[in-house]
Amino acid sequence: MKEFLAGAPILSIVVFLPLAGAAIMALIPSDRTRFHRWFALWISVATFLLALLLLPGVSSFGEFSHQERYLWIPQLGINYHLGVDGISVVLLLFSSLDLVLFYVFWEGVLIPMYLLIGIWGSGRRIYAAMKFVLYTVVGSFLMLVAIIGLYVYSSHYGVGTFDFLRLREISLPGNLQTWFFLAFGLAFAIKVPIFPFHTWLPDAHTEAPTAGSVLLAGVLLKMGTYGLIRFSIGLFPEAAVRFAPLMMGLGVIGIIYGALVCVAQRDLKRLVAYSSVAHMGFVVLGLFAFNVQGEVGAVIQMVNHGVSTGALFLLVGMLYARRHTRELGAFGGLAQPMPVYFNFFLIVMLSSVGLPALNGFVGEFLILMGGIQADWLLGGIAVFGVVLAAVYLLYMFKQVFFGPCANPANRQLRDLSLREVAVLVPLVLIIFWIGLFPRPCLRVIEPAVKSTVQRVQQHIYRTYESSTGSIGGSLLALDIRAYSLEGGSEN
Amino acid sequence: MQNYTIVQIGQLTPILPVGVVLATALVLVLIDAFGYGRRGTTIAGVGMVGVALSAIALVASFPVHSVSGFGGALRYDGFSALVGLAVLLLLFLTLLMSPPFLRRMRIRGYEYYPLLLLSASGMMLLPMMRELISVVVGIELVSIPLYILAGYNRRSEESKEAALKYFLLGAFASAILLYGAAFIYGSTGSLWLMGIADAIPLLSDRWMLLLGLGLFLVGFGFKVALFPFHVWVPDVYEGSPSTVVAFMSGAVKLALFAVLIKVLLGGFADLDAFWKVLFIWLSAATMLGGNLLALHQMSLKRLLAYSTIAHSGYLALGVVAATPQATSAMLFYLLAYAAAAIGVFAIIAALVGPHRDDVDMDDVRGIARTQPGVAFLVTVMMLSLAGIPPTAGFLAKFYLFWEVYQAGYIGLVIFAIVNSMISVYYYLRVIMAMYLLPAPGEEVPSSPGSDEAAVGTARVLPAVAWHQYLVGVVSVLIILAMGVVPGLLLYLLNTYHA
Repeated sequence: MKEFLAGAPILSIVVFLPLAGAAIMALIPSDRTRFHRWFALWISVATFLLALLLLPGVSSFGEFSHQERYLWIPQLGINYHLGVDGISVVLLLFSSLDLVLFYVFWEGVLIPMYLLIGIWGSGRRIYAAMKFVLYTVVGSFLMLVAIIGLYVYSSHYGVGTFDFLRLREISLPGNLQTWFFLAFGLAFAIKVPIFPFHTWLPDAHTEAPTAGSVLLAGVLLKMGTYGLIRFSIGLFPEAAVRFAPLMMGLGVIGIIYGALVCVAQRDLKRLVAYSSVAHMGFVVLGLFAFNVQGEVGAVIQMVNHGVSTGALFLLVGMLYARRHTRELGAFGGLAQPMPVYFNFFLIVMLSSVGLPALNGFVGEFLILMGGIQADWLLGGIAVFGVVLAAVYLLYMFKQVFFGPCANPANRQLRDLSLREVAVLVPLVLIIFWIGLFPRPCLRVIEPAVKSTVQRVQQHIYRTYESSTGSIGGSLLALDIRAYSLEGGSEN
Repeated sequence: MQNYTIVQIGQLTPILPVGVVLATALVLVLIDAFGYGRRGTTIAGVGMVGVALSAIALVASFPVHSVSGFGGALRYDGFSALVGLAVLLLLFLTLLMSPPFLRRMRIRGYEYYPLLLLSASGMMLLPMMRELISVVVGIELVSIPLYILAGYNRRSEESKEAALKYFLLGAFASAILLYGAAFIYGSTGSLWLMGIADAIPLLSDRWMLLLGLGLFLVGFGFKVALFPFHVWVPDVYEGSPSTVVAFMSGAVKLALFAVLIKVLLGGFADLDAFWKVLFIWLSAATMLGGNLLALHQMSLKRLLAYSTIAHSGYLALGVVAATPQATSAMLFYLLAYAAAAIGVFAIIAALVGPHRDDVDMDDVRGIARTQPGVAFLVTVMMLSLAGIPPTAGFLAKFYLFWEVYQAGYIGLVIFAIVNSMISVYYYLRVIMAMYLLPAPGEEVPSSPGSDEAAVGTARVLPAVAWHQYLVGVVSVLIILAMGVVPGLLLYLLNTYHA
């Protein structure tokens, strides 16, 4: 089996299987709804299983595996180059190692998402869809400038390249790093979204259909954070270090701001959307802490957010399908008519809060550890974000499920159907799995993160030695070996 | 073989494909004169055969090394051959889509087809021209049939207006071109690009030459619609028959930008500081002006007219860079643009009503439900025009901006990219209308706080005829092929740059 798979371009198959599936579906008449549903489901399952096959091959030394490299447009130096390491394989599946290819995939997400929000969304869907696209496009075009710039710069060192692995070996001068970091950073910051660029997210999330929200939370936002760790930090470590205090600060602002908005939120879906802003703030904080805990925590938190927030959107969507409202005030006492729903909601909500033994805790704890090491003040403030998360989520939970079931419309609500339970069970299993046995996950992520952090550390030392940088002493004090997770704290 | 030797036997090779097109045009006139082809299909069919023959002749005589002829007034090279092939493809598609359109608009008179062929023969000749008077005559050969074609829908006031505007401003531009050529001749004593290039270093006083070149470029600015010489474009696009616009929006640009870059590189390379500065400002103004004016257009033809202006602006970037690689990038961009433009206008030509030769944004509402195939085709074309991967438009922008960046104009590239962002908005409006807005008479799924305006009095669109549908499919296939597997084309363009 292994030998058979060794030569097969699994990665390409994983990447293009859904596309092929969509093409086949476009050719089948649209009134055969049952066929479409099952076909889409099986394609997704097959893709997932194939992606699992990638796992055993992932290197434990932080290198890229499963690399596939073909000439695509040699005249422009653009290659088809895929590869995964511990970070990308966890975040199924961002595998482009050629910047232009990455850009193509990055933009490829845009239009389907636009139509998903625009066609099947609710209320102000057109406004939300347009806002989503324009924000994204602004970011990504700037990234394109930086990609071209990188090529032109790399051509000073022999042949110009868009290849991530080769660009990584070139050390860029400081001011160029700053510009490129800002250009890439803005694209990713909009996608993540980091605090001042977040305004598209509540609109898009709120108006998107449930499936769209889940995709947004699960995949799209991850594109931003993945871009940050892989490209912004990977290619421009010096600039990343220089901007680390700013990015961490913005992350913390996102945490607190998102949480505060949530506290005042009366629309269930909007509340979950803003909680995304807070969660992604944690991820950014962890990424720019530049130590193994923070970074590993950030990667885990990306997965967590996809699972927990995705599940929350599903749950809210299920409620919306029954009651056609998302007003917090319209509910109350739902624990009585919907006990199964109540239990699922409880678990997912607590995972989002960050209760120990559930997945949210692992990620947030590691991030806070990393964050406090890097900057005790920012890390300390971020801790309040956890408290606020408990405040708004528990308050929402109370409003929806407890108290008297006064509204007659609520009393007649059906509990979850078997199909809905079947959707939720895997998510809940993942929540418990990451919460109780994070070890396997960490083992996959850690080597890749370590190599990233090591590269950044080298740059920090270099900057320190030339004593030109203005990096806080707290960052310098870090030594990744001393903080290695080998003796991990919660597993 | 040196470039500038006169090859006696090869004299006629460069113009053989053009000759085939011209001969076909004459045959078409005769077919009409003898009373065959009242339905137009015969004429279009014979025209297509002629175009195919010309393409075969062109491929067979493809100049691996450049060939000079007619005392050096023509130079036939791979670059002009590629432009010629593209023009022939566009002409072929235009002939294919025209008959059902002319029938629906009840346009009679079959000079239509020969005129298209005449204009195309000019476009094929232009990139070979190495002498200023030939250039001016070539431009006239391209333009005069188009003036007539613009007004071909005789019962439409808009069409007459378009023809008059196009003719007056075009004639004015030609006069300026000629005036510029006269000044250039006056100061350098030559009309041959070679002679001009040789004379420039010897000139002690350059003001007359600069004046001449300036006028010459202003004339070009009119013809390729650079801001602020663009004002004729929206009216001409709106009023002219849609199939004519489909042809000229891509093909005129193709021929004129090709000859422009060859004239500048061939004759005026020493003055590059002058015309580069000029084109920096022209391109910046054109991009910004075109894109801003396109933002709120309600008529699709006007929207595309402003978009074509914006695309002229991007193309002018290639003139600024003016490296051989940048000319390849320009040609790639021109092909990508022409592919998308002819596709969009073919679909528009299929959707216009008998009384008005235009489609409004409101008209295409909800077409994704009634004609999903058409909506998909137009979406791909719009994405390509907007420059979103994996379409030809993306790769074209990428390639062009990349070359301009390498030539050192980083600020201009950033400005162009900001403009591309602006343009996404209006292309997206078309997609939005097709997919997201309800069609006339379609039930709106009511939801609280909905932001859809009430449906206006949009007309019910006719189904797209297979001719035009086929052109749309071909256009989309070209767009996707150029975007995903451009290897061969890029190889050709890199080998045969200007």
